[in-house]
Amino acid sequence: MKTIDKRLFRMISDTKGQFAAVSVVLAVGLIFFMSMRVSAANMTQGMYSFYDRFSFADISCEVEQVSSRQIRMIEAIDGIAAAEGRVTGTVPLLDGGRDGGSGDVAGDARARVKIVTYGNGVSSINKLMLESGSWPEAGRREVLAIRQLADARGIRPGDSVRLQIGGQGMDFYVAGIASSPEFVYLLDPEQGIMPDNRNYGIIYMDEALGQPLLGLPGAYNEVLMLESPGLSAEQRDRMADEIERQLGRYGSHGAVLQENQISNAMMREEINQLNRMAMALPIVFLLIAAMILAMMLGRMVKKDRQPIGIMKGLGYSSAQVIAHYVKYTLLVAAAGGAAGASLGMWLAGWMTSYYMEFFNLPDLGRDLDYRYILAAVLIAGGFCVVAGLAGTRGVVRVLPTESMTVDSPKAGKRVLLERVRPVWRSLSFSGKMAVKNVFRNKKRALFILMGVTVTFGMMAFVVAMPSMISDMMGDGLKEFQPMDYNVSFRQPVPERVLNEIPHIVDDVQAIEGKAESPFRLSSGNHEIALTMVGLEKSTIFYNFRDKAGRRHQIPETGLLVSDYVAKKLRVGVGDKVRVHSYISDSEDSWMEVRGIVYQAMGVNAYMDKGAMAAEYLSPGTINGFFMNSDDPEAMAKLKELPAVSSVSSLESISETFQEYTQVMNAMIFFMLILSGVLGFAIVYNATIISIGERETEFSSLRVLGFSRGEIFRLILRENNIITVGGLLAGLPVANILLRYSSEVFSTEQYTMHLRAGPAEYALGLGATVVFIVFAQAATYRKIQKLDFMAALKNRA
Amino acid sequence: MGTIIRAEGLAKDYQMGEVTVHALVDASFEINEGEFVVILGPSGSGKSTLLNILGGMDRPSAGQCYMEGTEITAFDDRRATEYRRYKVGFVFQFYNLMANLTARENVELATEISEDPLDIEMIMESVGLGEREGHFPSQLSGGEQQRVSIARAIAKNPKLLLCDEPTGALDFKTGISILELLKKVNCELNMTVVVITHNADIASMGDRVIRMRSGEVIENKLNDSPIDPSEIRW
Repeated sequence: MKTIDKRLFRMISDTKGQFAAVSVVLAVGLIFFMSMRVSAANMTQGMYSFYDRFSFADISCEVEQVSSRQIRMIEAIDGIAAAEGRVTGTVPLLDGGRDGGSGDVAGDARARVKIVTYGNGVSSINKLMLESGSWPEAGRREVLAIRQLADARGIRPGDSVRLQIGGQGMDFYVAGIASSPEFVYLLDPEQGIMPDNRNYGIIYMDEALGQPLLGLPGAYNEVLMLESPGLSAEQRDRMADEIERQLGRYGSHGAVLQENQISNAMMREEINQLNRMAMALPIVFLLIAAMILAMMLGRMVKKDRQPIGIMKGLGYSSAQVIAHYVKYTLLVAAAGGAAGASLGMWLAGWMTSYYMEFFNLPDLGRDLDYRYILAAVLIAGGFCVVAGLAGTRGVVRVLPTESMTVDSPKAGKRVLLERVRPVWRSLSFSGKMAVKNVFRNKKRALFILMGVTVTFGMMAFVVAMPSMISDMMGDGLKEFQPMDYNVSFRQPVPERVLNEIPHIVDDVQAIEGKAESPFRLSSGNHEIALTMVGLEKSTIFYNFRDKAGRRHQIPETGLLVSDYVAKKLRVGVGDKVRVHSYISDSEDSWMEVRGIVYQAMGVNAYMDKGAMAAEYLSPGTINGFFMNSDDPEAMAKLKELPAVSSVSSLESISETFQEYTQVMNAMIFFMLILSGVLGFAIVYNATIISIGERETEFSSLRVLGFSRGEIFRLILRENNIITVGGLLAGLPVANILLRYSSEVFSTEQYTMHLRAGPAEYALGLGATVVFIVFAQAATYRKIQKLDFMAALKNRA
Repeated sequence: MGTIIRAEGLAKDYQMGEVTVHALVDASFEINEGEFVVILGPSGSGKSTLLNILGGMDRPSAGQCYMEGTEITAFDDRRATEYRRYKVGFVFQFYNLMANLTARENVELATEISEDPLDIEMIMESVGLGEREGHFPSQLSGGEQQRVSIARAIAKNPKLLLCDEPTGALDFKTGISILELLKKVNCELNMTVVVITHNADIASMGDRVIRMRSGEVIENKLNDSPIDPSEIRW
């Protein structure tokens, strides 16, 4: 080993604390990058290979009823490569699985399955992947259960499930367990955004068995289509229009393109989020690591003026000396890069498995893409070399002779605050010193300030996340929709039917009819498909408020729309939107937006129930109702009614919320630690550098009679001034971060409304302060080890 | 005049690899209150080591040192800090001023932590910096910076002023003016001043001269007729 390299390793040994801290920041950045990027790539690869191999439908469309002949006509539409019909219907799951019978009553009462038929022989669209067991035998009451349901309820091939069909309990033999590309993210359309696999699943059966059971012998109520490859956008539009025109005759609920299909959309959104985070988060960590490195190197070069002068005197060129110091940063890159890349890969493997499981994606094999490792190495090396070059530019200025002389004192300047005489005079002497020291190295002060700001911003963001989830599924939802039960009928019924409900369910405190139907709203080139909900003007089951908190009521005429809808259509209050019903034959109409209301979950528009029924259903009818009741059997009783197609309860959503909260808390803890690592590394490194630079100064103070504790308090006071500044600056930064994230992460399924109140800010502040205190406590060792005699002697 | 410092058999050994360096060997002497003492010796003679022990910055390997009858070599870290804070003032060759504090503020830094500080105005005037007290170190000459350093050391009103090569970084004329100032401090404030130097010419102004060589005190004699600093030439 060259002597100069031995010196390099001694340099690392002397600064091992800082070396480790900056390597950790770099490693964390790379862990984020690798884990998110690689799992996003794995998921994309897994998803598309699953889609390809099992022919995921490009278009699907629910209809009232359609025959095989009509499906062949659809297949003839230009651009359609294949079309198939199937029958689907949601029915209560009465019993099934090893854990099924022993569950709680409410859990069992709300369990339902969607029956999905597959064609005689082999389906060519949305093919099933048989995971275990065997295919059902034709002519027997045998079915396949989807894996999520089977896993959640412990259903195995050979078990039986009991379904309630047409008011009767029927047993089916489970021949096998299957997966399908259309239900990787299995969501109960009635229940919200989190899967609840125990209480919602898919049962597949042969169409010969399913058609008569679901009341559609020889007919279908859903059409699946594959597009011909290589269609232009124009051809696709024409094809979509034609599908809608043809299927409109059979009561189409609107064609759903693959990109809007709920499971696929959720999946893509998740991948997009991962990719977005894989860019944003690592950059923060890498930039900060680079800044710390540049500062460290700058300080080293300054401290090493004499050795640099000696090296130059011996004949080393500036480039050689710079290379010597840049090697330090390269070793940081190597240490942080190796740790970050390997831990990132490991985490990516774990995350991919978790995601694959969560999204029920079969592991069809994944390749370790070495490009990501290469990218991580290049990113780490690149950031570190740039930081090294920035930090060592002072080397060029050192002359061999100059380096042998003593430093002249740095120019002292008055700080701005000194001009504010009353304030300045009110400060104690040590307070004045602290303020002066803060302004002495503005760049470093700014760096610490920025570090504290970013840390606080991230902390506040992280602790605000539970409020967002609560907004969607917890207290926010209860406030927005204060209802115990939301019930839908299979067909519109006269409103007077509601009078019967209190005779069936006990203790009904309130009940209101609703009209609900799929619609398309458009304005100019913008359009959105949504469920329109018709409500009573003075409904007690919805609390509409706009973002400013003002209450809104269902208007006599016109619509209330959720803020996401308004944003998507780019409309404001007073604008008119075109309203198209997917199930009614009525002409499109224009309606005025009378209010924009805040809604965290789902995409809806609201109008007067009477007007909606008159226009789009039949006057005086409803197709569902909301109810408050304390009857513990309410769910079971309602499900037994043949006219009822679904019952959802706020309680079940809350239960899902509770489960999700646990996952969320683990994630928040992880994020808090990582944000804290960032704050720690910044404050620790900057303080150590500061102590190193001021060794002589502190030694003089020691000689003057200052104790170690007093010197440490002096540094603390300086850091505290900056920390307070950072925390104050962190408030608006956190706010911006929350707003930006709300914007970026909002999707059609849910509108993120991240906000932080005093409690979140206080919590974020507390967590930030804890890590900063840790960082400062860690620097105390340096003060302890300060050799003041050596510092004072070694000047010449 | 009572004894202010009594050193008994002070020794200091350093381990340099496998070699033991004897920086100080059995040094014993006394210094009386109010004396101007010059410790003279070439580089490596152990004078700085001795000064560090006298100043409570270092501990001997053997021997004891007493100040006003209290053994300073037995002090723990806390008591050594208190000793430096209240009893001793230091002046260094390279001044060691705080770059971002003005001359006056550098002096205030010391008075802030002392129990019975001297009046700052008086100090600044007496070191000849009344007009320059608002200047930062970078705006002062070497001599002026050393004056600030002396002002800072004496402002705490210590019993003992220890000066490590106080003229080492200064030209002749400025060096003489600093020695004059130290003499003035010695006479007017009745502080005991210990100057260590390798410059033999300075010895002539001391009331007591302690000569050192290879870690040993080879001579400790009283000077019956110390000369005025203005008469010194080198």
